Formats: sequence, structure tokens, C-alpha cells
Amino acid sequence: MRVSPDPDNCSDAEWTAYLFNRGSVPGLKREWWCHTPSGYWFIVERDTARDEILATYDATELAMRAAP
Amino acid sequence: MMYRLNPVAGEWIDRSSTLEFEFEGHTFRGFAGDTITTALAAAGEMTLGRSFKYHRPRGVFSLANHDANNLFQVGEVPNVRGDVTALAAGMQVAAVNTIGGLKGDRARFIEWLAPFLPVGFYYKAFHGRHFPRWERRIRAISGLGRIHAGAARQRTPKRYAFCDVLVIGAGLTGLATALSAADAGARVLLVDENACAGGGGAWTGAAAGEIEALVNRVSAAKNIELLTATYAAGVYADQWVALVEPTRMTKVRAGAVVFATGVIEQPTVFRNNDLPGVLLGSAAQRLLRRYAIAPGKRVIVLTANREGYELVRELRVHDVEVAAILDLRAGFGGDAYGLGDLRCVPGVVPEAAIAGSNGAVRALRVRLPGNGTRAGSIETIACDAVLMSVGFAPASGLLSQAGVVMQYDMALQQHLPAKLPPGVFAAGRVNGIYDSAARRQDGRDAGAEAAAYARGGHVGTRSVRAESLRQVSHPYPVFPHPAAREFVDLDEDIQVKDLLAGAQEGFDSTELLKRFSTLGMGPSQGKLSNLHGARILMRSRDATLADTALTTQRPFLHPVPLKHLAGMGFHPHRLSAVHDCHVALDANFMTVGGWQRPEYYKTSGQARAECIAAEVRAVRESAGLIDVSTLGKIEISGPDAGAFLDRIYTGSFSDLRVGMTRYGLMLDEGGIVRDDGVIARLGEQRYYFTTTTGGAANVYRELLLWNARWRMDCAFVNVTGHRAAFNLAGPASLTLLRTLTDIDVSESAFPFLGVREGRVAGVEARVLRAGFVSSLGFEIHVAYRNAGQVWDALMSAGVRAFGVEAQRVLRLEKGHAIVAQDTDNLTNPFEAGMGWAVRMQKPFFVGQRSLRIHVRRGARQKLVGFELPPDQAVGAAIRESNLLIHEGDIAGRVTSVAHSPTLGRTIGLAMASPNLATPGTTLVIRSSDGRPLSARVVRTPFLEAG
Repeated sequence: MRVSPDPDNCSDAEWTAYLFNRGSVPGLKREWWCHTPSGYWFIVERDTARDEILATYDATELAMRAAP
Repeated sequence: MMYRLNPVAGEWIDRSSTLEFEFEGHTFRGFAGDTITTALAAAGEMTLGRSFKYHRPRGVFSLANHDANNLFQVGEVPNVRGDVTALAAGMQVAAVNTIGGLKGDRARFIEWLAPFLPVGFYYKAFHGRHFPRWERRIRAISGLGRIHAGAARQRTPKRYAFCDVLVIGAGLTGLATALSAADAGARVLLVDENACAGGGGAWTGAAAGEIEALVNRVSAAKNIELLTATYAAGVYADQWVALVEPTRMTKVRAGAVVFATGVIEQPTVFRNNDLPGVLLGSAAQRLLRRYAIAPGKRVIVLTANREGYELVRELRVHDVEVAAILDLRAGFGGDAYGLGDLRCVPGVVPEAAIAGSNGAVRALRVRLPGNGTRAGSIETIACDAVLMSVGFAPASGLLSQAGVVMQYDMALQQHLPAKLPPGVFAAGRVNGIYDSAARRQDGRDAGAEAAAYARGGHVGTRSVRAESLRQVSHPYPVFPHPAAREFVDLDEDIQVKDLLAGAQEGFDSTELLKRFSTLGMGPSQGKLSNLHGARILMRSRDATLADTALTTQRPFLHPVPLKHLAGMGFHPHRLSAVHDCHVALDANFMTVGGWQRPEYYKTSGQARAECIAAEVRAVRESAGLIDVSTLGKIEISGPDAGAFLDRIYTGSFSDLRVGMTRYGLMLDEGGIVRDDGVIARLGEQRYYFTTTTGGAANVYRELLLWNARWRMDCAFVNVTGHRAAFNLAGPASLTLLRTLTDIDVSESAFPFLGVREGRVAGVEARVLRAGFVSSLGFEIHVAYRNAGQVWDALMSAGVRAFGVEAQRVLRLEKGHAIVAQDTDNLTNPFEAGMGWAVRMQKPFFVGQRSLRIHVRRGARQKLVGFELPPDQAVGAAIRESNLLIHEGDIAGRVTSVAHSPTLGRTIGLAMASPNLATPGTTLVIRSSDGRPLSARVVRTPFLEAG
């Protein structure tokens, strides 16, 4: 899950880095997942290095949780 | 020479059913239950194939699906594995990889060239400019089997299966595992690659009748399904396993998997160890017990473990003469195993097998141990079979796929699972446990733990028990010979010196050496060679196997026939609510965005182009009707609905008046055009909008994601499937609609881009005044169930139905671009001529930030209208995607082109370099047949009125 920089107060370089650059470094990730039959989007925290899902929760809980 | 024995208890063959088949042009007979290889072996055929590189004669070796030199062409099917493929009557069997047949293979000469063909020879010698020429030559003499391009397509069904515990391997351990898991209440799927369950249990310590009793209990158990002749080809994440059956593939999702896969016996490496008649001890056991075949008349058992002496006992049961028991270990003799009456020699070094006139082994030359100060003597022992029982490698391919790291145990001289991921269990000999009682217990434990894990009650990982483990594997059964031909890998004809040469060249890790020497890259994927190869490599580096990992084992375990992997070619499509009406009107259908849509309606006696032109004329001259039910249709409601649309679309919608519609353009964050549609405001807090036919599902999903982030106060309903929609277009459309609706359609009451709700043909409808294909037109949206009624009413009023092709021409005449046809993944709205739909001054919309950059940089391309001179119109072969050429370079491409019946000439849209975008510019289009054609850039729309 990538957080967009403020579009009105960021440089072109920051913006394009947000759009196009991915580290793809294995490790802890926080991601948007979609349950397609119901169209429900939720958050998954997983470790891509160990292929393990650590937590799933509703987007409303984002504020309460520290980034992994 | 091999021969068939009298009936043996438990044999897999059915002697009452004789099968006749052909091998290399001669007629043979076998029994039902035989494999191709065993039927030939029983008939005394020793040479069954030719080796891959040197074309040496080869025979039975493992009889366990690793015999890469027993590959056959069976009729049209190449590379059939003879050692495991059931014999069928009428089979036409031939050896592969021969020139002129198995016996007189003319490619034998290659072995004489062997001194000039060291490992890596092909890479080095043919690398460079002339490689393609050499490659053709080499390919002509190598390769296995013939492909019959005209062979009938074979479909293999797939199915999904679910179980609590999947047990792979139905030997002594696997049977105990399955019963234990089932006793614990689990639903168990038990699979085994052999034709019958039991594995090697019968010759590895099971009591008489024990295997039969276990199999009977498994068959009787209600919650165990047993699949034989089925191998697990691949193990994927979360216990997802692909099972290959002869005529089916099963994709099974298991709660837990127990790998009771056992071990693979490894050969002894000595000169001429590849001769027909030299085979693994376990292969001899399979021949004896399953197929009632004696491996020879006078055999030598070369051994380094108790399993070899058990084999001798079995041979004597069948009155096979054992010429000698040669033990590689010093100090081990037959006395230790109660076979002291036979010639048992410890500390033997095999020197070479010697071939007879038939190419098969006729003697074994060995060096006998010295006695104190006396040096060892060389002796040649006559025999017609050498049975090797010197050690095992765990069948760990599937375990590795499951993420298990194998660690070499120096005490056992075997790799053992070091750490098992959750849900993955191993049991039996693959764990290094050889004694039968301990294996049964290991299986019972694994079964119980796997069942507990599958229930979710227990998340533990098993570790291998250290007790009662005995070493059965010789640490280094490799005996290099000065004259070489000690084969490590029979698939690829790799000898000890090849590996040493590779290591010397610097390819001194298992992975590098594999790629340099092709060790383990043949059909059996190194199951008989990777371990010894690594032993040879590590010894050359003065290291041990504990210091390295073997090469990675990936899916598939055995080669999987392509027919098992090929999909069924499903192309599901959706049908509109009035599909039957289209059929009744003789529509020619095409697939658009997953829907079946009428391309045009056929009129007898008229060609496709004429039909389309007539549909276009109907719309321009009176009225036409097209089914646009395939458009995505979404309702959004709530206090923030308008503000949400402002953020999603480039235009402004919170200021849209109720009862009006506005065109909307949707971008991605990169400012690229993704979708478009019409947004209608039905109420203060209610909007209804359309998306492109192909984009409906994606757009809806994206909207939900955006609002999961923004959490605005609005809700969405995707009504694409709930509502049908028709576009009534043309100058007569208003008059026509007036007769069918209670909505006031007068110009003053229902302006252009208005939306009204009322009744059409007696049912509730939403009507949008639109101008996509004609200046005057109405989109009529009704409930799915009422669609037929409305369609029929409009058709009865004298409207002509038109299809997607006519719509493309009509909108092109009006100069409208189609998203994803006239735009691509690099097109921003300014380049597509849609800048009028973008309100850059809004505080925010998706893609706005990137558009600011695009605006500053200027357009890199422009969508322009063009037309061909009237004299070029007919037959000018310009197609979509034809290139624009300017000063010898590509300067764009045609995105839409059609002959306009209204204008009488060919018109189109092209994405062109900005310097070619000025009206009046001449474009050079390279047509599909390569001719350059001139076109002129013109203003759009091509047609103002109509």
C-alpha cells in the first residue's frame, strides 16, 4: 500500500516516483485486497519473504494500526 | 537373460489375459498388468533402448519411472515411459533415438567419436556464427520420438478435490499414515504412482500378508479415497497439489499433506554399469514380486546394506542362481545375515561389467580385497545380471517443492528434511527410517498430527526421530576407471570424468555443474544421478554433501503430458436481455467485452458491407435502434455522490443540474484515459452513469477501492446486469418515441443532454438524450425483465435495428473516439482531443497531478481525423493499426477507419505526431499490403448534421 504524496505540494520527481517506482523488496507489506464476489476491499498485512499473511482488517482500522 | 517365473503370490499380472503387441516390427505377447518394459523383459529382450548421446544399448534399470532409456514411441505418442506404462493390446511400440531401428542403430558410430566430444563440446565448438547450421545437423540425429502434427486432439478433464489430509505414497508408511489420520476423523486422500498400493513394503520388512491387510482396511474405510496410478506432479502454496492420473488431472486442496514418498535406490558407478542386465536391486524386486520375472539366470548381487541380502533371499525363493554376493563394505559378509552358505565377499571393488555378444552383461570384473600384505586380486565372475543395492536417496522432490530444506546427515549418508513448514509432514524412509516397525509408527504419528493440524487444533512441526536409524547408504559407491564409461547419469550419458572436467573448468557448485554438464537435466531429472554427481563434485573439492545443497527440485516431479495441462478453451460470454430478438432478426454476432453483440443484421442477398451501409443509412435518414445493454451501468447515491464523481471524473458533476447528463472521462493516476460514459443526475443525491462495455466490472471495482480510501458518504450499486438499454437514433427518433411514451419529449421540455424518468411502451424507463451516433437520439434504460417488451414496441413502430459495426461507422462520422480503440495505455485526454471534458481548475481528480506534467511537456501525439480522396475510397486496403510514415519513420497509426456511406468516402482517426495534426496535412499510411497511400488530415466531426 503506497501513500500518495500531496499532489499540490510535491515535485514532479516525487510524484512520478510514487507512480512508477516499486522497490519490490521482499518483506512486510500492507496491501489492498479485494473479495471479488462482493467487491469488498480490505487490508492485508503479509510477509512476502516468508509468504505469510499476518493480519487482515477493514480499511476503517487503518488509522488505529501502526504500519507493519 | 530374464524370463517369466511360475505364478508368484501377489503378482500384478493377470495370466488369463494375454495381450499381443508389436515391438520394432516383431510380435510379442504379455499379460494384462504388464508394463511395456516388463512384457519385453519377460520375453528375454535385454536391449530396450539406445542412450541419448552415445547410442549405447540400455535395458531395464529402475522400473520406477526413472528409466529414461526405456522411452518408446507408441503409435502417434512419443516418449512413452515403458517402465510404468501399462501394456495394451495392439500397441505399436518402437524405440526412440535410433537411426534404422534398435538393434542396428546406425548412430552407434557416435560412441567412437566420444574422445572428441568432451562435456561442454557443443557449447564451445558451435558457439558463434555457424551455430544455426550445426544446430540443424545435431537436431537431426538427436531428439526423442516423433511428433505427429496431425494427431487427434485429446481432451483431459480436470477436477477439483478437497481433503483434510493428503497422503502421497501408499507404501507401508503411507498406508499406516492414512489409517491413522482417518481414525482421527480426517477425510483422507491417499495417492500412489504405482498401479497398485503397497510400494516397496513387500520387500522392506512388512510381514507376510501385512500389506494386503492394510490395503483392505484402507479400501474399507469410508473416509479414505485411494487413487493408484496417480502421481503428485506439483506442490504449490497452501497445500495445493496437482495430481496426474492417466486420463484426468485433479487439483486437490488439502488441509495437511503427508509425504510418505519413500526413497529412490541409487546405482553403483563403475565401468559399463549401464549394460543391459545391470540394474537396481529394487528393480529386481519389482520384477520378481510384481511381474514374476527373474532378473537373470545367474546373478551377482552388489550390495552395501541389508536390503541386498534380503534380495538374495528372494532370488533363492525363485531358484535364481546367485553367483556371488559382493559387499562394498569391508568386514561385512553373508554370515552377518545368515547367508553364509553362499559366496559372500566383503570389501569388493567393482572394476567393470563385460558385455556379451548380445550387448548385455556376461560377466563382472572385480578386485577382491587383499589379505594383510597381499594385494587384492582381480577376478572375472560370469553372470547375466548384476543387481545393485548400495544405497538410497530420499524421494524428496515434492518435499522440496513444499518448501522443505533437505540437510545431509553424515551418520546416515542421506538427506533428511531439516525443517517442515506448517501443514507439511514427512514419514517413513524419506525421514531416514528404514525398519518396518519404526516406519509404521512414524506413519501413525504423522497421520495423527496431520489430522490435528487440518482441524486447526495443532500447529506443530515434526522433527525426525533420531532413534533406530541405521545406515543403508554407502557414502561413495563411485569407482572411476581409466577407460571411463562409468555412468553417473544414464539419461544424458554423463561419466565421472565429465563432472570432474566441469568442476575443473570452474563450474564447481551443484547448480553450475548441472548446467555445464547437463547432469540431471534428462527425462528422469536426476533422480538417479544428482546425489552421486554432488558426491563426486564435493569429493573433488575435499568437502562433503553437508557443505552444499542439491540442485533445486521444481515442479513437475515427472513430465506431465501436455494434454493434462491444456485448458478446455472455455470462452464464457454474456447475452443481452433481448438476445433472442437479435437471433430472430438473423444477427451476425461478435464478442465484445465478454458479450455476444450483433455485429450487423443479415439481409438475404446482401453482402456484409451492404447490410452495414443500409443500417447506417437508416439511422441517418430515419431511425435505428441498437441494443446497448452491454454498457456498464452504475448508480451512486448519498450526500457525497456528486463530490465523489468530481474526484473520479475529469469533469464537474456536483454542479450538474438534476435532470441533465454530462459526458465523463475517467483517468488513472498517470493521467491516462481509462474509461468514459454519461453521468445522469436523477436527484440531489442520486446519479446514474454508464461505463464502456468492456470496462464495467473494472470501473466498479476501482470506484469501490477509491471510496475504501476516501470514505466519502455515498454508496454504489452495479446494475449492469439488471438493466437493459437501447439507443434510438436518427432524425425520426423523436417522433417515433413520442408515440410510445408519457414523457414530454418536446425540444423545450426535454433538451439535448437531458434525462427523464417515465414510461416507455408501458414500462418504467429512464431516457437520456444523447448524441453519440447521431445529433438526435435517445438512450432508453429499462429493467431487464421489461426489455423484450420495449424492444418489440420500438421495432413494431418501424425502426431498423443496427449493430456494432454500423455504430462504429456512425460515431466515426460524428468524430467520436472510442476509449481503448482510439486511445491506448499511453494516451492522455489532451492527445485524444478530449481536453474539453477536463476541468483542470478543479481542486482534485484522479490523474490531475500527472496531467499537469503532461500539459507542461506538451502532447507527444494527437488524435486526428483523416479522409482518403474519393478515388481511393473503394478498395483502399487501410486497416486499423496501419502505420503513418513520415520522412521514413513511423509517425503514428490508424486507430479507426471505415467507409462512410453517408459521405461516400473512407474516413478514419489516427494517432499522429503533433506536427502532422494540422488540417490539410497529407498523411502517408502504409496499407496492409505495403503500399503507401495518401490521406488528408481534416477537422472532425466529419459530419455535422445527421
